[in-house]
Formats: sequence, C-alpha cells, structure tokens
Amino acid sequence: MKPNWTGFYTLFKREFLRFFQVPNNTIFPQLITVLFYFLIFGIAIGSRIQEVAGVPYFLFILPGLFVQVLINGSYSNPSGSLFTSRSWGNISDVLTAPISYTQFTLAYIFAAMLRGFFLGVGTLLIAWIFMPIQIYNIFILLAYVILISFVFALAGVVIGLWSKTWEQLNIFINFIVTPLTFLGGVFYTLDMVPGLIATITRLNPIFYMISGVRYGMLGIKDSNVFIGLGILAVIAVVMFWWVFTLLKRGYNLRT
Amino acid sequence: MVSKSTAKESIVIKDLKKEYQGVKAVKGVSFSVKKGEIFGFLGPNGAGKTTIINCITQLASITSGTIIVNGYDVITDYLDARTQIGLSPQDLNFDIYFSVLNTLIYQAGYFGIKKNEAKKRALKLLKEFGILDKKNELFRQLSGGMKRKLSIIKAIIHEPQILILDEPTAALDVDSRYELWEFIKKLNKSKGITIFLTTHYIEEAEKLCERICIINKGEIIKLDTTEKIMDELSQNIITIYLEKETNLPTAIKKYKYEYNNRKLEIKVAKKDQNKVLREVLKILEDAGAGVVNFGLEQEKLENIFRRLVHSEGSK
Repeated sequence: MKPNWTGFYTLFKREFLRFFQVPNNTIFPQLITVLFYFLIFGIAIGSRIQEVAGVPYFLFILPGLFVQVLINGSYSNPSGSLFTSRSWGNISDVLTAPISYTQFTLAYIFAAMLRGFFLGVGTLLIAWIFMPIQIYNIFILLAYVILISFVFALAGVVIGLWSKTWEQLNIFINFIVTPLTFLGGVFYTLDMVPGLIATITRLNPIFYMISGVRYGMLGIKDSNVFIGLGILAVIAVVMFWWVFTLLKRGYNLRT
Repeated sequence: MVSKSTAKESIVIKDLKKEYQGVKAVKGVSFSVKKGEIFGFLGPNGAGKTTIINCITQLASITSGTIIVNGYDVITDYLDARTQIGLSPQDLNFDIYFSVLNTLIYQAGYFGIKKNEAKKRALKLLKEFGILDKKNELFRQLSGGMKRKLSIIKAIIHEPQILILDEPTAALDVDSRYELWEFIKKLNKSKGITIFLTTHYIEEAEKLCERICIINKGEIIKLDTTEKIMDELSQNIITIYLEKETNLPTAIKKYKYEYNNRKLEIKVAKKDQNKVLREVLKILEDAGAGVVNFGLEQEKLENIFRRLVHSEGSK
C-alpha cells in the first residue's frame, strides 16, 4: 500500500489543533506566567541589577524562559493527548487506521514541536514589548530549538504512554523538568552562584540547552555549544528509537 | 477500498491464542467468515468475543496463530488489512472536544480520504441515520442512541469491505434497533459488505445472521448456519388439547411429554417435529381420544444458546 500521507497529515493536524480548543489550559497560562517573569525579574528587579555577561538582565533571562516554554509546550502536547485518548478509549481510532508506526510517531512529535515553537514565538513577542530582542546566530539557535523540542516531544510521548493517572502525568514536568530548568541557569551565570549550585548546574542537561539557546540569541558562551548540540542529537536519536519501539510494540496501547 | 481478489473469505482465523497476564482468554480458535455474509458471534460476557475482535483489528496483540483479512495478514500487511475493516466498538469512545462532523472528517482522514470528500460522505451518512441536525454538536451532547449511530457512521465512512459491530444495538430503543437491523441488511445486500456482529440480543442474531458462532471461555462450542443450529438443537413443543380428560395411550410414553388438564405437551427436535406430530395424532385417533386443537411452538435461539453455554459450563 502507498504511504497514507492524508492519514499522517490528519493525525498531525488533529494533534496540533487540539491545543487551540482549550486555550485557557494550553496557551494563556504559560504566556501569562512568562509575562509576569518579564515584569518581575526582567523589569522590576532586573532594572536594579547591573548587566549580566555584558547584556541587560532582561535579555539574559529571556533564553532560559524561552527554553522553559519550549520544553513545556513540546512535552505537554503528546503527554496530555496520549493520556486522555487512552483514558477515553478513542486512541483506537488511530490504532485501527492505516497509518504506519513511523507516521504515527512523527505526527505526534511534529505536532508537539509546532506547539512548542508556537508558544516560544509567543514568548519572544511578549519580550519584544519590553525590549528589542536579538539573534546572534540563527543556525545555532534553530538547531537547539529543533532538538530541544524534538527531545521533549519524545519525552511527552513516553510519559503519555506510561501514565495511568493525572498525578503520574505531571510528575515528570513538576518534579524533574521545572526544578532542572530553574537550576539550569535561567536566572544566573555559573560565577554568580556558590560552588555546590554551580556543580549541580554543570551536571544538569538543561543548563547546556539554555546555554546553547543563549549563545544563539546573545552570543554568550557558558559551555561548548557544538558539544552540547552533539549530545542533544545523540539523545534525540536514542529517544526516537525508544519511542518508535514503544509505539510499534503498542506499549500501554494494545492489550 | 481494494481487497485481494483471490481471497474468498473475508476473515480467516487459524489457531488463535491470546493470553493476558497468564490468563488464557482465547484458546486456539479457528474459523472463517465468508465474503458478503452476516456472521453472528455470540457468547456470554467474558467469553472472548471482544478479545478476538481486538486481535482482528490489532487493538490486542496476538499470542500465537494467524488472522488474514481479505487476503492480508493483520501483522505483516497491517496497513492493507486495516483499510478493509470498519469497527464500531462496544465502548463508545470519542474525542470530547470535536463536533460530530469534525469527528467524522478526522476519522475519514485517517483512512486517507481528503477533507472535501470526507465532509460529503459524513453529511450523507448523518442524513441517512437521521442525525444531520446534530452535526455541530459535541459527542457528550448526544443521546445514547445517537452516540451509537455516530459510532457506526464512523466505522463505515471509509467504505470498508468488512464491518465489525461489537454489540451495536446496546442502549438502543426498539425503533432504533429495528432501524439499525434494516440498515445492516441494506449495507450487506447493496454493497456486499461482510458483517461481523456480536450481540447479547439473540433474537438479533437469529433475524440477521446467516451463520452463527457460539463461543464460551475462549473456545468455539458451535459454528454453523443459523438454520442448521435451529434444526439440530431446537427443542420445539407440540401442544395438543384433548376433548376430555383421558388416560394417554402407552405408545405416547416413548416421547418426552407432559400431560395436564387435557393439555398434552411433547418436546421434540425441530427436524423430527412434523413426523412426531403425525405419529402422535394417529396414536390419539386410534385410541379414540378426540383432539380439539393443536399447535407448534418454535424454541427460540436464546434458549438454545443458554442450554449450550450452560452445558459447556458444567463440563
């Protein structure tokens, strides 16, 4: 049978558009939170802080907040969608349709990445209200944005398949991703914090993601951005293979 | 949708076994469903009906055995196999955020049907099922009967060769049930679609199905044409009303009978009923017992089903 691209596109479209149906859950809370971060840390407190790494504090925190939104958007789409469609049972519509395992995987991943981009662009537009934003190296920036959203979309699929309760669904984002993001140098450079926190930050993979995006936007280097990209690419490949295998096996999808 | 022209049977299941967490839900079942027939799949709750349907549609993995759908193996040719089947599952499961029309457009899209064509088909089917006015409503705003109709429309929007209906008339009122039976017959006759039907309403199977498979505890206990099952297994009742209270002739005693207050009831297999009726009337006439009236009551498939299942259960 010829590849069913209409089927793939339909699934991708459904997965992407589903988050516009409940914007009070999926769009506005994240962007409003970011707006408050900008107001409080960027404008109110930031105006009293001297430049950090040669840029205004507002611009310094922007890449970290952008990454946080990108991660949340990419992760939440497949995790929420797979969990609810498993709970409601309507996942059977897709499982019984002539959509290949690769198409199935990619439709969920691309829709999640697009949601992440959409929210990321929203974050940049809000930032623009306060200060003109900069792009130092668009290629590095795009490479990081694509890989970060790809990896967290895959993580979202894994958690969406694994979770049996709403509580489990939120464990990963609340207890792993959010703390790691805050300890990933969103608000500080390594020389601004005590040795122990600096060491923890260096062990934190999200630090290298924020660092890469910060380089792409501002040209500030906290780590080697190319090694960071390489490691992220390896994680992306390994996770894609894992997710593809889980979906093909029908992990928590088929009885 | 195209099927392999060489396949003479819609579904061929060979030695299917399915185990969940050590429980043998299906124990080596083999049967086939002919192209264009209405096939009834009956069994008590937990018999393995839905498990077998899930194996056919690949909602459940197969422990061992093979399932071929219109010539396509459901595992190795899974994409082609899936285009052949439309499934209306037992549990009604919809995305609660989408309208009726969008649900159908998405469903058709999964099967490769472009939006304009999908919309055309959806509107036509909604009209045929009498729920066109609900096209913009959400799933949760529909009544139970309408949800069931929507589930069937969803199953046929991609024009499958095989339609699997897992208890389609559950929660339907009498009128809707009859309406659906007519629709199933029409779909089968006019388009030649094979119907694979499970139901708890045995009357439904008796009325609709050409062949019936009865399954219990993961094993087939009877598979034949509805007519043959009825002929072989039904215990019909001949009732004869006598003119006056009388001692029955000894010759009657070779039959399985009950006699009470001038009413003689004889239980007899359907295939023997005419012969036995003639014999009994002759015996009574010879003995001078006047017959006022007589009748024949056909045993329902439901009773046969219960007898079969219970006799299996007591083994």
